[in-house]
Amino acid sequence: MKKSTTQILALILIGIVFLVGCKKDEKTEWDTELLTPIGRTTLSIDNLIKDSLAKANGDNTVNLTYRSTIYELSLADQFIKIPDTSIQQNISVSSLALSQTSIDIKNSLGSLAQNLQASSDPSQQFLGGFLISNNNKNVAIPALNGYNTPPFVFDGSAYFQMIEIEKGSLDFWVVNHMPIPITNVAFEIKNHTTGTVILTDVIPYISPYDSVYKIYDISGKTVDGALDFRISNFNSPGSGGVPVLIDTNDYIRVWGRIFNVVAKRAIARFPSQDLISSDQEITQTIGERKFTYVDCKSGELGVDISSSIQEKLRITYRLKGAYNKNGKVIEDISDVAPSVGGVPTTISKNFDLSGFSIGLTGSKGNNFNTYTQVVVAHIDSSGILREITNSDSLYFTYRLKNIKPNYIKGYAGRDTIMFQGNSPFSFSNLFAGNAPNALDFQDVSLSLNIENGLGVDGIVKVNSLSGKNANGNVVNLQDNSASPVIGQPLTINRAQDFPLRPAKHDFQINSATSNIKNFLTNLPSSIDYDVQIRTNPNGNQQTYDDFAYLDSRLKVNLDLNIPLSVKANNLTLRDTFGFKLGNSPKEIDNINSGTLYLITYNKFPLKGDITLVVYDSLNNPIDTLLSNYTLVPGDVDANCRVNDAKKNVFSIPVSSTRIHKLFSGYKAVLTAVFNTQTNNGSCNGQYYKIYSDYKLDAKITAQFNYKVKL
Amino acid sequence: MHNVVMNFRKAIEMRKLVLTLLLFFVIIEWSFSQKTDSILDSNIVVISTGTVRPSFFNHELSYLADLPTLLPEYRKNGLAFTASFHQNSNSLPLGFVMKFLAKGEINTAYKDRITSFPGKRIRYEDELKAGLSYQHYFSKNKVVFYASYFHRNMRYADITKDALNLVLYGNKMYEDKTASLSNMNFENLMYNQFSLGIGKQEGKLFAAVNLSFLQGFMDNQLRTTNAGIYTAPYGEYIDAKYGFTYNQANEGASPFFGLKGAGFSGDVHVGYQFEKGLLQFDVQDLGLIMWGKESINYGKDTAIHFEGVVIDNILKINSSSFGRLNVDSIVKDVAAEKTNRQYNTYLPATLSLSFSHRLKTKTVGIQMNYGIQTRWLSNYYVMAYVKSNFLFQNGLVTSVSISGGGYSLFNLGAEIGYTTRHINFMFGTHNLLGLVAPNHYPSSSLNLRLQYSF
Repeated sequence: MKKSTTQILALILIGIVFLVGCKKDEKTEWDTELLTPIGRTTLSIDNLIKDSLAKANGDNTVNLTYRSTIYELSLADQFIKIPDTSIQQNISVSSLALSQTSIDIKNSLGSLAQNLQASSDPSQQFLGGFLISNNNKNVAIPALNGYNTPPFVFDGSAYFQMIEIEKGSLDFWVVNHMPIPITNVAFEIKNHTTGTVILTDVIPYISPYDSVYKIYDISGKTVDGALDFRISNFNSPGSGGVPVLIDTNDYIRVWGRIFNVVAKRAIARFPSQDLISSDQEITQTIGERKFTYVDCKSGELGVDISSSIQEKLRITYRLKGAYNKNGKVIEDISDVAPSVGGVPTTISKNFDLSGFSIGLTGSKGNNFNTYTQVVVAHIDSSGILREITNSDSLYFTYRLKNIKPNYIKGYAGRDTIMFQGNSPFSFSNLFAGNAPNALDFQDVSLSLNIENGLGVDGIVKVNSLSGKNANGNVVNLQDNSASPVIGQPLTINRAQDFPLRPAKHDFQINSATSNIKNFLTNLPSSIDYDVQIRTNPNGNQQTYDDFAYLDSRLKVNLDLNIPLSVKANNLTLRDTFGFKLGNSPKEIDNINSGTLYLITYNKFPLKGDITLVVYDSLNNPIDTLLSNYTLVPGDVDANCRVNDAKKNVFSIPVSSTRIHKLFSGYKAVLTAVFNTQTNNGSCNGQYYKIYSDYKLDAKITAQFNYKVKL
Repeated sequence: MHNVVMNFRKAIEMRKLVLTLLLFFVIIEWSFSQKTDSILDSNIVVISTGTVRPSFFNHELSYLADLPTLLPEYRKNGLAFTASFHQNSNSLPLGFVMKFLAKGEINTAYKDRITSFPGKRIRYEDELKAGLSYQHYFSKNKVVFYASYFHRNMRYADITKDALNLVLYGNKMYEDKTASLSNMNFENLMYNQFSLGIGKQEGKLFAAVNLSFLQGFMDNQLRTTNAGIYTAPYGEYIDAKYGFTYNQANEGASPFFGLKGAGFSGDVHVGYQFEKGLLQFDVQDLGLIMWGKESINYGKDTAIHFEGVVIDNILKINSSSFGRLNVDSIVKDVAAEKTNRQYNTYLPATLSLSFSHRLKTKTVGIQMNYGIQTRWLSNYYVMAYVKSNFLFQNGLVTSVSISGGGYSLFNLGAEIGYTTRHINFMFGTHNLLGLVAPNHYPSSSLNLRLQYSF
């Protein structure tokens, strides 16, 4: 008994443990009925009339405005094309400067006396001895005649070997620092090698302690590197019997130089100098257009430089008047190797013009389409003898490629542009699939709006506008007013600049003098147009203030203005929207079944029949969620106005199978067929005004049998 | 919600462990008993005297929960393993709780039966307690020294019936009605209890105190104030008002000996031996646990009106619109900000008063126990009980009990025990109906005690 009792206890406990421990491995789960809002939305007139602008009037009625651009003229396509251009120019050596050479000769009175003593002339010997013996004494100095000096070498060979001087000067400064005057100072300068006389002259008189300065033109001379300078004679009347202090340190000084030399040709060691420094202009021909300024969006300037000069050049190139927004200029400094054996050496440079603004009026500001270059060709002193002539040149080739302006200014020329075509008229897309006259508007007006974003005067002529509906039915727009818009030239002003303000013109077509209502109720899906545009009809007025931006447009728009007072006769609105329940079937696995509720509050005075069909990704219909569910319109008062929204509740049962079928949904098509109410007494047959507070509130709620799993 | 369920499941795993231990000890005892028939025959237990001797074996105080540690013991050393589980509710049977926590399908009939219990509020409490205790008796001074360790896992909840309906049925049944969620509280608590105590016999009076350090490692605590959900017809909108605080001691799993909170509790036992009986008074688990600053707290007192996700244009609804229609996004909109601050849990202390006396019989010792007991829990009624112990000369002990109060109205209990020279064993329940019909009766318990004396 004892044993069996304990055994029973053990078995009970074993059983309990097994019951708990061997429980099948599944989730705790139970079914619930959930009732929850899912989503809500409001369809106002803004939602229903897409791509339009509904404006509320003072009485809360709504005007519908709709714009359709039927043509848009792009600036870049028409006006500011700048063709690729290649231009060649050459620039000769404009100046050839040489190093300055000079001579400085100083002859003291003591040295003069010694030379006189050494003379073979006894009188000069005597005078020489007299001067030396009376040094520092006050004595009368006798006259001196026929004195000359041996030649001094005027040596410039360190700088040049030969110069053919086109222009040049030589100056002398003769200083008499003695107590007696000197007279008839005759001198000559000769080429040392060839003996060719370069210059001779006589200075008649120089007072004691005085000087004479003279400049000589040596243009046209050919000068060697070494010159002989010689005083061939000078005299002195002496002191005229008046005792004067004899000081053998007194002297005569001659200082001379060759300067301001411009050579035709030289064999020289040239000093550092700019051989070429000049502004060069290149002018493009762009038809009748004359531009004064261009702001480049993109483009490229290529420059090839060839040199026939036998010296290495440092070329500085700058496109004058070109700056980007950071003030950067287009400039380059490059070395060109010396020409050897008469064969020019060439370098090539490319400059990106993107973002650069460039003046096109030339260096003097009175040109057009003209680029100005500043070119400086510089040589450094090499110490080597080179032969350079002023016929040596730099040859330039300029290449302007792919210039695309952001902005141009000047005279844009005259153009006549004809364009015919058609453009979609999306307003009617709202009513696609409807028979004509499904929507009847009480009144319609249309405005031809021309928006000129070009700084160019013009004339626009709309030859014809016609609307074609989906059935191919065409209605030509006819304007029978006193100032018809169709078929007559319409003057268009230019846009204003800084900032750009397009010129806007509206040309009204109203329903009283046109067939615009028929035009619109035809529900055109496209507009055929025939339009002519002429620019600068008065030609060049010499003001050169035309302008155009890259994004400047000339637009021709149709502006519809429709007071929303309508009758609907089976007006069908259809739209397709994405429909996807989730990314994974697991997301809906816990839903066993349920009911979707569509709760609507309709304040529109229109009865709607709604159908909602779900399609898969292959456009196969997989389920019809709603089929001809009636959306009851709001009740109208005596003024045919709806004050309170009407509530509608649509139930959509969804079984588990249906939910899983809907999971493959890809898109849904909502079709709503609207009709004006016919049971509203005095409002029957009238146009219903649409007020700004009209809307359709829709809420989606769901009652799901949901399996909770923990 | 997910964390709460996970913590529940963790508790279930612990329950499996305890049951396995119970089984282990039963088997050990079974084997041991086959070898110790001669010892049992020695009949060392004194049962024929007229004195009521409260002891580990004579567990007359362990009516609802477990045997208090602070009983006088007159053997020199005692080492005891104790494991108990009880569950007490006015409407939720153990079967439902097990289905909810330990996986299983809850069908409509079952839900209907659960929610058919009368009353507008659902009250529930359960506790799992298991551990070892040791006491040493200093006979010279008549002093008992106690040391013990217990793992404690308790849950208590007081929620509205509407809340249960919402969970089990959803909100459809509340269409155009408000479901009340006010003044609810719930706590799911796990901690380890380390205790030291001392008791003294002074004439007919025995008194003892016990102090415990509490190592808390898991807690979920929810309180609501004024809260409710109104569901409009067709679910057109939902109005919800809610004021709540939710505290969580740990995020994710917490180590068994992780210190997420610390606290202290005290137990008091007083017994007086009359000539004809024994009067005893006990207070257990009077204390609190303070959870650390890493706790996670949420709180909000607000109202929301939910009409669904706004779809800008129904004509352009797409998957992203539906993708937003999930609970997480809604919760994100309405949930409170997360904070980290300390909070406290006050333990549901137990108070009990009992009187025991012996009936004179020749062959079977009969001990009658009468008592009342209560726990410091929301709307917990005082429970009264009568329990009769039958002590046979061969060492077999049985008891039957009847009680009413607490969260449940009526309980029947039965226990069976056995004693040898060194080992005392007891196994039983105070809620027999809940064990027999776990899906029908909202209360159950299971107790096991094994003591080795030397």
